[in-house]
Amino acid sequence: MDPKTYQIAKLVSKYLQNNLSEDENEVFQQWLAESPEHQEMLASFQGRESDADIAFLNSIDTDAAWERFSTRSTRRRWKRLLGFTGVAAAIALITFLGIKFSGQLTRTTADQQPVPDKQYANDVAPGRSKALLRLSDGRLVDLEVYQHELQEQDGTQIVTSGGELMYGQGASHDDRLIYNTLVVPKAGTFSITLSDGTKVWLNAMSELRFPVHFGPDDREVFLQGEAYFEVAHDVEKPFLVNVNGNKVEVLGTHFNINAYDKVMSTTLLQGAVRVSNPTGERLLAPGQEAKVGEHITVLPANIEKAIAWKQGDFYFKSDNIDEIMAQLSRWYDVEVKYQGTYPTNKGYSGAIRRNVNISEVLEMLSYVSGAAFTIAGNTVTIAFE
Amino acid sequence: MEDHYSLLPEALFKKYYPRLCHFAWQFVHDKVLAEDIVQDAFMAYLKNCDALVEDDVAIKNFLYSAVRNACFNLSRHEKVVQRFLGYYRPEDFEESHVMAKIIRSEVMDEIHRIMQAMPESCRQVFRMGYLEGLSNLKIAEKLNISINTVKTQKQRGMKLIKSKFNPELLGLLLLFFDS
Repeated sequence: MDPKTYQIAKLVSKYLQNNLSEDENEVFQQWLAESPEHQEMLASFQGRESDADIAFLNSIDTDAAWERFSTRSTRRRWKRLLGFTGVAAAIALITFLGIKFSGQLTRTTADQQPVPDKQYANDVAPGRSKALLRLSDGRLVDLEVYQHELQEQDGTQIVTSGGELMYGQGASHDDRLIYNTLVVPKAGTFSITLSDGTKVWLNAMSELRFPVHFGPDDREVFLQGEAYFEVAHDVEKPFLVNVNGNKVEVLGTHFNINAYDKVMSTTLLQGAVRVSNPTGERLLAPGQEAKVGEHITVLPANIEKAIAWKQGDFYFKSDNIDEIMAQLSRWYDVEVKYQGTYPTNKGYSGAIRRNVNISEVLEMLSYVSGAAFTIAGNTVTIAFE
Repeated sequence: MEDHYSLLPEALFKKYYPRLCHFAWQFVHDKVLAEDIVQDAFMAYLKNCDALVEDDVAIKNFLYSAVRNACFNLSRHEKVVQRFLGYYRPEDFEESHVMAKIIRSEVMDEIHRIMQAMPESCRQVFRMGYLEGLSNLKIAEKLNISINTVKTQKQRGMKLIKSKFNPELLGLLLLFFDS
């Protein structure tokens, strides 16, 4: 930050108050003449444009903020970001990723940068592209190792390259469906383009079973775990995703399915899907999420959260420690152990890239939760005090 | 480490909190998020303040940088959602834009504080007339005063503002007194 910024702000402010000295006015006019942007900026303080700014400042309750801050800061170091009121809603969002302060900050910080303490002797690398492909004849192909073309019994070409699998259109017109299964283990992720052009991204610990080429009536696949779909449009052939006996029916659309738990959730980004379980069905609009267990509940979705994994991020929003650790366990292939009791009703929020080592994520978690983490081999132990 | 916490003067927090929130809000367009970011920035300040010189500019630099960086990091995660809302603008983080935002926050904060310094009676009328958009009649009913008093208060406020502000700013300030 250029210190001149504050000086200019001061001058603008004084100008608006009609309070510039002659010398100041000279500097101010010089600055104004420097660029049309500066003139625009000045003009923007006039008229209705500033309404929202003043209304915003009016809405800030500094005393309450201070109370919240001092309560939080006098607790032990980074204890918890949960609102002091205990209302679960008030959760701070941490952007943990390097708050790097600019070099011109101060004279002193440059040589006194705090050295991050190495509290994790052990570390675990993040997941990467890996998967196994089970062909129709039962052969299992390790896609991390095998990087050539494959051919299915019906002549369909399967191309594998850099974490992706692509199915050709299929040579035969045999109506008999033959199935392949893409198995993504813990600490893995993979994407696949099906023969109809539909793209599917699979998260760790997930499986997709699909026909090498689709039949004439519909396109049906079977999912376990989590996947993001971009379904190729085809009105003639609805696309069906089977998840533990529940169904998601699609025409052409973008959506995410998370079915790690008993309750499956489907989040729709574009298009339309129909979600059904043995008891009923619901139609989803973009921006909605359906939770499908015994019943189907439709809620407004947090899309960013739902597809963060596909964008290469962890994104926690009021998630409890169980849910967070389950995600880490799948992505880093670690066991999770709890020492003593732990809060199950507290929500934590934060966001971090998935390509970092586990220690960075744990550091963030420790920051927001106050818990201590230790890594031994591939077991992570959590201790709340 | 813990000892530092008591060192953060309440005054420093209260002085910078509103403008930093305003600054964050210019990026994230969300009040709750903005406040959270600023709270974190102060936390970071506590952690580092013994490495900082006790100087207004240094402190401001630190806090504004922390907020900007937090907004920047957040924006990368917000991209998806913001693409739909049309909020995400990478150029927001170019230096000249950041500078313009700081200036805006500093100036608006000052204007806001001057408004706050107006007599309470004026301010109440101001708030209702300007921010809540109530008519003179409504304000009179709500405050249980006569319409004439409302008008007088508005005129008093006008005078105060005329004496304090440049005519060019009146565009903004007039709005809340015009009836």
